[in-house]
Amino acid sequence: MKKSLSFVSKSVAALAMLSTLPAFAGTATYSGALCTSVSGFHNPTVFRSGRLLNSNANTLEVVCPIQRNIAAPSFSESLSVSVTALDPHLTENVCCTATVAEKDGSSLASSSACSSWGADTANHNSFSINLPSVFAGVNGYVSLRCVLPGQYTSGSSTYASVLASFVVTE
Amino acid sequence: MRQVRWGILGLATAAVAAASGWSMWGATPEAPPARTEAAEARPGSPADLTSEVRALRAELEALRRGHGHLLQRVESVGRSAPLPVPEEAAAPATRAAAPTAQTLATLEVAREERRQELEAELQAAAHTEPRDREWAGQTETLVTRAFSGPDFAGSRLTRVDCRTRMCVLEVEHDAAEARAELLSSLMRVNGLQGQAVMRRADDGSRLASRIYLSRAGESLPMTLRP
Repeated sequence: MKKSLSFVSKSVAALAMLSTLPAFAGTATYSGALCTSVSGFHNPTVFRSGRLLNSNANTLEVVCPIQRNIAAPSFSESLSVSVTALDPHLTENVCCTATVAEKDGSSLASSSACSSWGADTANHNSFSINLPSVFAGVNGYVSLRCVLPGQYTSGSSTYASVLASFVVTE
Repeated sequence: MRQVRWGILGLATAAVAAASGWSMWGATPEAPPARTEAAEARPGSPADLTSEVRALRAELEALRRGHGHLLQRVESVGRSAPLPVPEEAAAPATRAAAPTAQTLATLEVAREERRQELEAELQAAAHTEPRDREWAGQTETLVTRAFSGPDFAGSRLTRVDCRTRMCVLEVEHDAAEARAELLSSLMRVNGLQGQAVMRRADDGSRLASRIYLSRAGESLPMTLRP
């Protein structure tokens, strides 16, 4: 019993020490399923894996929340977002924009990038966005907005663009 | 006379012998423990060793009890000892999660100074960077056309000046809502996918913003600290 209590207390202590780590810069990975459509009635298809697909014929725009992974006074001046997507479209790209804003939503800085690997119907690839997050105040927030091309049809096959996940490093 | 002397000596001896005999007889019932103790107390005797072993056992028992108490105290201290650790370890996290107003104010002042440094760097680059006529002209046209679209309703472009890797835009807004959405709208324009930094340039009652926009695929000329 005493050994159990000792073990529990040591575990609590270890967890408490680990809980201080998020105070420092780190990475966090989010699934595409967290993103919400801002394209009116066009809704994305979300698979159980957490991948987000545009199964519509039209372009789909989604906004993804990002929890800032830092705490005062450990601010870093930049933030990078690595987006993993499937871009099967021959002429359009998956494009994402990261924006840092004040707590009232006023945009302060933005940065965007697109899938530039050409059409690939089979493999997911990644592209990165670097954002100067230093402009945000203590309670400023960061969000990611992505545009996914509509379904691409090649012969008898139809391919959907996919936003699988994004990794935020701050 | 000699006979008298021997008689007195004999009586005295007899009296002494009688007294000692009586004393020995009278003390007999009470004497055994004393004799026993005297016998046990004799160094090296078995009784002495037995007594010593008994005393040592008692002392050992006392030591064991004391050891037990110490162990209990150590365990209780061991149970309570980790508690200050999480408190101490959590203290920085708590301070980090909920810094004081004074700390936040200090941080905000430092951040504002840093922001002004970076904006000065951007401003210097905008003034000193050579002009790429082809790209600058195309981009200025692209930006000007974009502001006539519905996404930029409520915002008016008053000046655009492009160089080689960046442009400076000056924009007036009808309302704060138009300013809040401006960067998102700007980044949706095909051909403008780069970095953008916006700062307020309000003049009295007029809402205005200055935007530094990088060439697509390029970063703004800012020296960010890791």
